[in-house]
Amino acid sequence: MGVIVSVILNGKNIMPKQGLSTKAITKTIYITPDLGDSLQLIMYAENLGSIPPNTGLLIIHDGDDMYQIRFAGDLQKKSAIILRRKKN
Amino acid sequence: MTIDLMTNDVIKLTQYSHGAGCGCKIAPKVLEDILSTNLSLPDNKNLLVGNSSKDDAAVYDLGNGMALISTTDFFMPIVDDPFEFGRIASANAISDVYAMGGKPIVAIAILGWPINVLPPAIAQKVIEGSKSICAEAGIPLAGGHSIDSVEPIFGLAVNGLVGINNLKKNNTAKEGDVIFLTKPLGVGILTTAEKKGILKGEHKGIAAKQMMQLNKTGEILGSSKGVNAMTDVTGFGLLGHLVEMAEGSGLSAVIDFEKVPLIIDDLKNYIDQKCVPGGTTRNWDSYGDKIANISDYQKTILADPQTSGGLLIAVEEASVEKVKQILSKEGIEFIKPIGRFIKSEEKIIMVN
Repeated sequence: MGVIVSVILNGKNIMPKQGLSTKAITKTIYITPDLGDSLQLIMYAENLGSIPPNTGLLIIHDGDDMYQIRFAGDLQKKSAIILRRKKN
Repeated sequence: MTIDLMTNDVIKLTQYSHGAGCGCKIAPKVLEDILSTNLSLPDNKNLLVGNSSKDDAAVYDLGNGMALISTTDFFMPIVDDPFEFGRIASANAISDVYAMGGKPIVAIAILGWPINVLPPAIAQKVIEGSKSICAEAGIPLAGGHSIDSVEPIFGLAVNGLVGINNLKKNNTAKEGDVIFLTKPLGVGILTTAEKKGILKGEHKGIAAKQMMQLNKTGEILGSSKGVNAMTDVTGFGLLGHLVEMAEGSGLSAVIDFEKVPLIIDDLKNYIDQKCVPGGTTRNWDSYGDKIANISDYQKTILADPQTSGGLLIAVEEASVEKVKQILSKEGIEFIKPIGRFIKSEEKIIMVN
């Protein structure tokens, strides 16, 4: 069985139970004012996969910037990134 | 903002390519057909080595006693680890400069990547591997070009410099020259065994380690008198590159098979399990009619495509001991001659 993960943005499950493969699952997120200036993006495992620990890769494209979260854990651990809106 | 979500499990790069390393090379005979054309370009008096011979790189006279060496090499993954793939592909490309007696000065990358299949982070590892071997060679990886391709491809275009008096070609061997080979054969057989998943634990990493070894000795041999010709052994196998050397020099060669170094002692075990790259057959079909007195077992080893293989050196008898000393000093383990160039005969290579 492959790795299944969910992605939570500010407490809202935006990508529930995604089976991972080498082909990327892409989702566009619109950063609306109601999300606030701080975005908390969490990836956590829904299962242990066939060969624990689970490993996953989440790549965030924000304009010309790219951030990567490498996920390697189990049901007890989550990986997270907090993005803060720049104040001009 | 977009997010990409994918597995970060260990990806086996070789599963994404139909060929591997220099085994991807187009067979010598087919390449000859491709390059044969009636279209002629005006001679360039500064071009010291070009399409008229089958050498490792192009060489251009800079007019100040120095020449520019220009070469490129790229291929599909021969190992699963992306960092190692970057190192091997780069060592292989840089080797062409060393094989002409030169000093590499700058490299640029050539990257083909199946963006929808393999994460960009894996390509990043390939580039990091390349940078690490470029650093070992003392050159910058100064740029490059990338395309979205069906299979992963990586390599370098490398420029180097050589004093024209130190330039070593592959078609200037002389009758009586002794032949040295600085790395053992069998890389194609071992990597095929790995791809089939039957490589024994004790043999893992041996081929990769060898392929990541730079042929820096070539630069030193460039300034050594008595080294009459030099090339490196890659996709055409030892026989293919020796045929180019002998034919280009108007000679034949005799190989003492017992003295040819092998990467492991029991290669036969893997050969018996059909771990023979497709390139071996393509190679043999291209030049088999030029080889005399060879068994099927010898053929499988001597035509085995090498990736980032060793230097093949023609040394005049009087300089043999001096060359052995240079090779020893540079940490080369294989310093026994494997054969000799002789007067041209009906067949180009005879195997004893």
